Amino acid sequence: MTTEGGGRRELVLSYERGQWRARGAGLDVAHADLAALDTLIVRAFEGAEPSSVHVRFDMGALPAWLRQYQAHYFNYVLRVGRGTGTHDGREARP
Amino acid sequence: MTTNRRWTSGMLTTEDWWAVWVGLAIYAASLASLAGVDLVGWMARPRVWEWTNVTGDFAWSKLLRTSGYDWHPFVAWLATYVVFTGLLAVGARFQRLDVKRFVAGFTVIFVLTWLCWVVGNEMHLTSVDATVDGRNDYRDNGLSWGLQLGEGSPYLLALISGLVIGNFAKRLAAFLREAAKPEWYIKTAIVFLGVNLGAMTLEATDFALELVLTGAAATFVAYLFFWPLVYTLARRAFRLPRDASAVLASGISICGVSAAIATGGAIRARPIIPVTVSMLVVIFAMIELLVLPGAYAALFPDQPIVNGAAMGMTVKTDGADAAAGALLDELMVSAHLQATGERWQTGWILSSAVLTKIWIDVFIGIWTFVLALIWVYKVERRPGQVSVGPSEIWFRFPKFVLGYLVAWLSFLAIASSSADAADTLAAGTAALQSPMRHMMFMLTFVAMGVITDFSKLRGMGRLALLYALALAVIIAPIAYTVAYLFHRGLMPPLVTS
Repeated sequence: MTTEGGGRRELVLSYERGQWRARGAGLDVAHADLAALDTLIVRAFEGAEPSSVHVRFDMGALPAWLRQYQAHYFNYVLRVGRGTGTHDGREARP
Repeated sequence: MTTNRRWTSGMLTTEDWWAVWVGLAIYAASLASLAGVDLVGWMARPRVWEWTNVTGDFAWSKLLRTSGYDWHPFVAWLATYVVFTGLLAVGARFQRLDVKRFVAGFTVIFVLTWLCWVVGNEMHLTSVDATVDGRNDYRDNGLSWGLQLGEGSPYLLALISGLVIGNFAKRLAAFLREAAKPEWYIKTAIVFLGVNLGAMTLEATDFALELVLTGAAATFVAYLFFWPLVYTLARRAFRLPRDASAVLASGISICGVSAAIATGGAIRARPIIPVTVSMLVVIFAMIELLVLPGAYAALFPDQPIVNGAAMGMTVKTDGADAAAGALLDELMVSAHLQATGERWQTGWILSSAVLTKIWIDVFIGIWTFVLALIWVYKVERRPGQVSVGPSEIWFRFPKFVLGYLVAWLSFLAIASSSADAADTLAAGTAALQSPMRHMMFMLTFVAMGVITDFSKLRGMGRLALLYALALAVIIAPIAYTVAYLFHRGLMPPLVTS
């Protein structure tokens, strides 16, 4: 797995053809539901040391004319690694 | 790929930051006046003219003049084009726009803007039949008729021209789209407006402070009512899902497109939701801009500041709000002059609209951060697994506000240092305070019209109905009531001879 910023993992999130897609840190996963995508990401890091994955939305996924109004959609942090688990019961097949 | 990673992200790649850079660069150039150097005297400005006088014996000097240099007015106009096109093209390059298309589109918008500005200054459109200090320009020039719109007429012409292109010349609109950036132009104008506010604060400090504080209080009260009411209406009466209701509630009740996108992000909504709401907001903002300034001026002629603040709370998107405030300002000043012979200082009604809107914009980052926490902890119920950092507040903060504050406070600080400095600064920034700011507003009017396509309302019947209902029943009445409670009785200072 590649990491950035002193062991901090980063994924770039986009929305393509009706699916959320997260890429980076050796991972490329997609799902129509964002919570289910998070579950896929958490599972991908299941055996690793507990750490944070910084998920950053790619503004290029929004229409260009919108960016003059607001240049940020959202970023968030996922806790991954041993012991964090996925307990939301959502279906998560890539 | 464009992601926000550090607090400096976007400083060279977003319109918001480029409004700060362009606005402050020109302001810095105007500060050279303190050292006795005029770096902005090339700026052209239109003159008030009369049709028969110009057609009978044409001269550019009858239509245009320079702000400072002793240049031929047409040369000054070309210099104005070159400087602004150059500055904005640099910004376009950094924003990764297609620079060739941007320059081509901007050239068309620039020429159209000036055409509207010059035509709109014809006496039969602008001149008001009123005697001020013993002079009556309308009668002194022997006019037999006139629309008496004041400076509002160029704005109306610019808006109509843009709308005609956006709705009846769609291929041209598509060609101009790369340069039709109303938010960029209006945010640059708002940075210039910071200088105006500095000058106005010197003249009427208490009034300016009252405007700022009551604007903040009014905005806070409005937030408390608008969002929950619109959200409830969307959920209960229109049975919309939670995410769509939240995005719509923010778009309709807070600050339009930027709020819709910020809220969509905060609740991690599929992008299609804020995109659809944004299309709706842009069209309704144009309808509000077309209807509200005239309506407020006609219905409440004795409440100028209340009208401005109500506009700031009602009209969504910065461009439409500032444009509506500017139009309201000109219409009300002209109507008051016509009715009483008293001339209100221009800019105060506009400032009340813009200041109120700026408070709303500033709060959006905090509001959506709170909303994001509510969504993660209460709606999605995923505490511990997903977290949202406070950096989200900064990423959503409207950066042009920083340019506005820097311009306002630095002008105030320099001008307060001595009477000589105040006079020099007032003269040195005159080009920025008037023709440059007006030109950026005019560019905004044209660009807004170009990107507004009313046919996009097709297929949005239910959402459009919700928007119209929320606007008419919740937003406009509450905004006006709150504005009245906080601003009633406030009047712009009079122009002294």
